[in-house]
Amino acid sequence: MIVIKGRGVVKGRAQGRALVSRSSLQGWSGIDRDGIIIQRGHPFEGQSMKEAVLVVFGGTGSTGWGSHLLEAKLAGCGPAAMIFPQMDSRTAAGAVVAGVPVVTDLESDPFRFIESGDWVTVDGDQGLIEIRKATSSSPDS
Amino acid sequence: MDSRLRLTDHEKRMLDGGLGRLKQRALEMIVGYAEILGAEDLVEVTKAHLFVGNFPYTRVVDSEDVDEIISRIYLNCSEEKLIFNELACYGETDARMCDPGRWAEMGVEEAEIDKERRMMDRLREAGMARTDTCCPYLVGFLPMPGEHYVCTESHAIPLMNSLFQGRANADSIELSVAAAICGRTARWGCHLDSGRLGTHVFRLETELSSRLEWDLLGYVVGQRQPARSIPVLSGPFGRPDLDRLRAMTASLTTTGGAEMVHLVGLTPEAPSLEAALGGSQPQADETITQEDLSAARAVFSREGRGTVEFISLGCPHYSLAQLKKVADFLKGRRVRPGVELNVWTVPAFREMALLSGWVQTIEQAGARVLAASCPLTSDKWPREAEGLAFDSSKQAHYLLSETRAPIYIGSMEDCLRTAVSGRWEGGR
Repeated sequence: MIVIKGRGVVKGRAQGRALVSRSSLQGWSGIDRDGIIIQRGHPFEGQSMKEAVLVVFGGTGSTGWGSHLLEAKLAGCGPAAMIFPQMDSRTAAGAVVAGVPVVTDLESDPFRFIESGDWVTVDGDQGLIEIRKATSSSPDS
Repeated sequence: MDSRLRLTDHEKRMLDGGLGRLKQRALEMIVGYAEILGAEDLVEVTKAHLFVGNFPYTRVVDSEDVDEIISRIYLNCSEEKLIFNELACYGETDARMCDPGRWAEMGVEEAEIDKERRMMDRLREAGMARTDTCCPYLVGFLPMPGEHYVCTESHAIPLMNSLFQGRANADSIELSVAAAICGRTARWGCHLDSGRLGTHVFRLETELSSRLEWDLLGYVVGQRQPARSIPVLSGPFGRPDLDRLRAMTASLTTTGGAEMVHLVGLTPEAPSLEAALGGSQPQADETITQEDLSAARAVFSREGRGTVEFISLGCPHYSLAQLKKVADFLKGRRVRPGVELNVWTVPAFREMALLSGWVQTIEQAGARVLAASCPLTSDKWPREAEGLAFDSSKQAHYLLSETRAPIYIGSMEDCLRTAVSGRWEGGR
């Protein structure tokens, strides 16, 4: 298991499969109510963020970025937790309204260590993320 | 969480509930936001432009009770119901879910407009002005240099920060509403001198000859800049008017998220490239060529002259000068039957254009002058149309996620000629 230390900005502890992209994600016309990523051409297009640990570089597009996370959350389709290498105003506002554990300002580049499908625990209380590689161990093992 | 945040006595009293639960809740949200950003204190907000209403996404709260909807969506309450009836500063509305006067012909159901009206009653009680536009700066919302404001319209933020030297971040809808209620937001990002400096340089190697090319420039820069960066553009800009600059910030904040954009020699905090960068080295220094602009345009427009059934102009909402151009073009012409041409503007401008005779000219030609909304915000547009055309890459980009119909972009004139012929006239 790999552990990376960072700054916990929304408290709580949650885990899920990672959804990782070095690119940023748009909220408006990017995330739909069912938590499906609909942004045309995005690496996540067609995938669901429901119960996933979202790891993206930041937020782009409409200032309503967080509103679409909130919409998915209220529909029961929001992510379990989020990891950002640094906060921007869109993702910070999204973190407030999504209310799931968020860790940022990590000591190591998360994109070097986390790949989509890895099982990741986000500990917002201690500011830690724990990564179990999808290839080496399953979440149940 | 280690908080560095310092609060004034007034803010502490508000946070303790001394000024009522609504302000307390709003400040709780702002404090959370400020701590996440790592801000040291808060700034006083003097004006707020807010996207509040019965929008498609707010309907996730399945309720007829507008106070419940406002509490769960805008005030982020899980159970509690608060009455939104107070603002700490001047507040006004952003765009609406439809043209309030022409909801029926837009295909809006009576129950939805009724809920919208009840929400507007609540906003009136809070003392909000009904500007109903995405373009606050066109109707008097003009921050002075150094003034701290909040705004939910993404394209207006870099415009008002860079051109007028106002100070705001892309604070989101919910945190902007909270800031307007408690009168405070996080002192971070563009509120600080250090957060306004350019980080990425884009050197334009071609002359921009049209509003469409300014729009495409914004699209390309937004695609290339990483989150939390501030682009510095240099190049042969000529003397762009406000309509060109706002077309650029609209696309810039579609593919990217800039809160400032320096144009060397044009915007006041960029008298030179060095000044825009604050004497630091840029994190990237790239060029933008005519080929880059053409590649951005090719994301949308197809080859050839396909059938177009739906055309929407006015993203961002058209200025009076743009409405006049539309009227001049359509005078004595006729929109082809079967083609829907909508021209979106600010409600106050529709009234002025009516007094000027332009609305009559445009509507006699078979088009409509609509106010307060747009296809994207209303979600009322024909997904099954044979072809859709816009003079804005912002509309085109977002709608691309929601339809497989061909989408074209071109200039206003390209779109108007298409409305008359029914086939795409803009090339690519």
